[in-house]
Amino acid sequence: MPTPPLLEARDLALAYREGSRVRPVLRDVALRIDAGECVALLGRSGCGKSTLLNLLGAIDRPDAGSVTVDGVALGSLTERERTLFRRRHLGFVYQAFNLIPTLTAVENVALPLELNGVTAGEARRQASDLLDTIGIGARADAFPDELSGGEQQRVAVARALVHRPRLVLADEPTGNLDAETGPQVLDLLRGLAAGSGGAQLIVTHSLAVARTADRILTLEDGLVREAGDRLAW
Amino acid sequence: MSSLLATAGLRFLRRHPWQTWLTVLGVALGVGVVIAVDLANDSARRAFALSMESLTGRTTHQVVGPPDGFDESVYRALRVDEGIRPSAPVVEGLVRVRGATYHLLGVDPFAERPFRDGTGDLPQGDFRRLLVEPGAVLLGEPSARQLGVAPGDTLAIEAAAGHRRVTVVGLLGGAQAAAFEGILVADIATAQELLNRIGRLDRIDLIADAATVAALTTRLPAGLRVEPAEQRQAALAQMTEAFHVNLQAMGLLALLVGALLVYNTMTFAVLRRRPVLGTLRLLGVTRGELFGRVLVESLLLGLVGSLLGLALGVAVGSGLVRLVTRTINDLYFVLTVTTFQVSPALLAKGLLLGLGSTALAAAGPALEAAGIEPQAARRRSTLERRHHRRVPWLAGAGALLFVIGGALALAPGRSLPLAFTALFLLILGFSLAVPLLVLGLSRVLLPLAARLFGNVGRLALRAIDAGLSRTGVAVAALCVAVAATVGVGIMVESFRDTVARWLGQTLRADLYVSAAGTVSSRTDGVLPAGVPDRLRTLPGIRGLSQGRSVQADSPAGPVVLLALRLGPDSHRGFDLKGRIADDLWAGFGAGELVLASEPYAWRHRVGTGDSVTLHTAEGPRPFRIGAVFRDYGTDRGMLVIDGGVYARLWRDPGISTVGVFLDDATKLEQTLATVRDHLADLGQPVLVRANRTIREQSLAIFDRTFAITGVLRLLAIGVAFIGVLSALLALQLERARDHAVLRALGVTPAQMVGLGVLETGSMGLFAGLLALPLGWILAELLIHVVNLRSFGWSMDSLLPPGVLADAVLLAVGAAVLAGAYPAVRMARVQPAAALRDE
Repeated sequence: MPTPPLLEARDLALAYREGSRVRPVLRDVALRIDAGECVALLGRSGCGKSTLLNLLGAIDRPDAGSVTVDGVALGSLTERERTLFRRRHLGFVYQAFNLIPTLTAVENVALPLELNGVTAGEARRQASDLLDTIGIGARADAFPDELSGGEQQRVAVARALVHRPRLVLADEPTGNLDAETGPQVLDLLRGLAAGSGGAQLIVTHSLAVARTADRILTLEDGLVREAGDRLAW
Repeated sequence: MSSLLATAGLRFLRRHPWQTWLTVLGVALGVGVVIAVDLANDSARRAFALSMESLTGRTTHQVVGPPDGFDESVYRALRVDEGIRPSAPVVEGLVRVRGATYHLLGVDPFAERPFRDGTGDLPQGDFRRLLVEPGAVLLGEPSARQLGVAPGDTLAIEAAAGHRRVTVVGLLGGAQAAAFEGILVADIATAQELLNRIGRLDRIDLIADAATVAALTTRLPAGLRVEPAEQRQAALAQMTEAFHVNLQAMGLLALLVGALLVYNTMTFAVLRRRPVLGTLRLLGVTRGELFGRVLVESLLLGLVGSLLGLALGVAVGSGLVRLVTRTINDLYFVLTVTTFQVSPALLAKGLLLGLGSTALAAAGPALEAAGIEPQAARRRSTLERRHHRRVPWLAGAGALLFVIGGALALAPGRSLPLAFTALFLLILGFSLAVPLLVLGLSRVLLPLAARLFGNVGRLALRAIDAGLSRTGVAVAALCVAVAATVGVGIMVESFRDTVARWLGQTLRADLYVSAAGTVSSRTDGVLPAGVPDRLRTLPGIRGLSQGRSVQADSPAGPVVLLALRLGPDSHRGFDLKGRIADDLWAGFGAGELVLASEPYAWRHRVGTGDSVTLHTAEGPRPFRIGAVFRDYGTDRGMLVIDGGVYARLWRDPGISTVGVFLDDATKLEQTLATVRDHLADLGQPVLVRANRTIREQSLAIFDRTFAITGVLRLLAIGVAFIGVLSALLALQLERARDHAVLRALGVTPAQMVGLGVLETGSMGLFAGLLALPLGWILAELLIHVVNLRSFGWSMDSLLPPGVLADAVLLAVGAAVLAGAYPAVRMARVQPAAALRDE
């Protein structure tokens, strides 16, 4: 019996209204990601990659189609249920890091654990261990504005994975990092995700980043396709 | 809620200390003003209640008579012939001790025990000395402390009988000490001598049941009657109620401005943290949790602000109580307040008001936070576009509130709370429309600013437009505070003008001779007999008017009665309103008609043709109201009766004031000196004052009355000033990058300061301009609704240009002053650092 996919999207469509004009962004998008898999979604700037990520991450709702994550149809959830779903089952990494500026590195990492009901002391211990594991334990008590870009993204990765989510969604995770730090962060993301058994979807416009994934999808003209050998970027 | 969420929120507040402390200060000032006003009001009320308690004690009923009292033989008859044992005679009056007015309470120590705590429990030694030593008095402990006297010391007092020395033989202390503040107790004979009332009593206190009272009523001599003791107290307490309510409304206005400040700051905090809040939503923080978090943060600021406000209120209240007491003394009755008690209930009320207004003000920003989508870091311009779209809706809601407020204000009725509700709805409605008006003004004035100041002018006005989510609220807060200044300013100016014109019309005589009262504003003393006859013998006197001012009794309570023997022009001194009875002056002279002052007509709901009953020495007697006249002398209301009729019906030939009409008004100074010389040997001090002096003294009292209003207005402006400063600092922080770009492009620090000043000056100008119509509307409401319902006074409204110009200057000045520091910070911005931080 085939294993059910961890994430499955069918016939997704979304259009933006711009005054009287309607601009379609996604059309009949279908994709699936299996547990443990790392998939890259490749596309030019403004092609709708982040929009698709928002739909898959229970952040936005499509005009049509369905998204199922770990057997849960996101369309059937209320706003509050979607919020709690994100809290428990998803992890996010963004190009702009999006750390909470008034929390230290270790507190940022502990936050998802606390939100999921882990006691403050235990959450801090686990977060601290994870920061040690990724080599920035010494910076645990620094605030985000005291960290370098690479360090901030490491903290963001740790925060996305600390509660062992089923799916990690990363939007241009190396976009703000230099040529040396970018691959290190990607390695970290892949390594930690592999340990947790979850899947990853990395949205990027960089072919180099995409090539680190198990599988590459492309988004062009609102449609998602398997890239195969047709990559021409 | 997660402790980390709370930590993150608290650290945000700590990282923006200016913003945080300004919010706290705003709440503190708002709560402080309310508490200060309440404390002052409460202290005055408590002092009044204690003073009433000390004067009446456990008395159930009182035998009372004509204004000048009755013969003391009535007491003997009551006690001996009627056998009513629990009865105590009282004579009372006012005396001056070292410039302050005290109540002199003359009692019979033997009869006192069942009536008053304190006087009834006197040590035997003091008791005996009170009876046997001439000029012996007892003094309340607080007053003794204040005067620095101890038992055995003598005190110089000024009483109706002239300057006298009395000996303090004991102190009234213990649990009732506070009740005897401002009171001197003497044996009845001593009091009669000091007050020039030999053989007379003011009242007889009784502890009696209904049957005894009913039996007694039928046997009392003509002109005397029995009244429940609480009836007089209630009538006195009611007098100052409108005054207290008006003060409370001013306090609440300051709190409203404080709430706008909280709204402004918390909106800023939410907008500034929008990307962070978006990230939290992404991580799975629910809308409810975000709502709760913002609310809890606001309440924390509200709590700190409220606690500081309570401390501030207690500090300011002790100063304010002096102003409140002074006004009550000027306008109503003599009151001494030295005890300043802060009750837990009052503190709880302050705390609740502070937290409640904070919660209400923060509800909007908290909802805003809860509505943030997890798509995180939206651009600010998007937010402003959303806010701009909301602005017409806000203005629409404001217009609706404004219309409801207007309808309530125009609806006929007598309810004062409803009038204040209308006032607050008008203010709230207008302030909701302010952002739209600011948008309009900034766009209309843009070409002018560009022509005058070039790109700096353009940038300044566009910055107001672009940051409308906060500039709008800041302008609204300043506008409300300045409008309150305009409204109260117009009201006070109109009132003053009306009173000045009224004094000019009422005071017809060239000079006035009156009994030297123990309270400057009252002329209820009695002139020595023969004064009019003496004056008539002087050369250059065209005529005299004579007045006797007393507190008469009526079934509705005590009423000020002015008995007038009209002089040559006297009847023209009445500004009659509405319908006038036929043959008014003939009916007045015949004793059929009386005149009712406007406040009397308002309070008692009577008008021309209606009947009023007064207790004369011959028993109750009805009089018909011949006309209603404007009078600003007392808001208690007054009736005017012919002097001859009064003397006959009340058996009181006394005169309080004589108005002297001169043949040649230019000889006033000369005549004043002649009259003073001529009356110097009367054996009793009399006041001889020119018409002009009385007018000046009356207007001085008027100005003193409104001194407290000035203090409250200043506090409201203080809160608004903090609001503008807070909003400007917020904007400056947020635009650090824009400012850095400008500096990087070559804008000099001086130009940056110019930009800042122009921006804040424009905001002040908008607030000032918008405050004018709102202030005028508030003034109309205060003049024609609040004043009328509070005091029964009608007056003509003015539009004094000075008040309007001051308001605009005040708004621009406050805004520029508040903007000075942010402008300097803008100029000091280091482009490299600011751009790197972003």
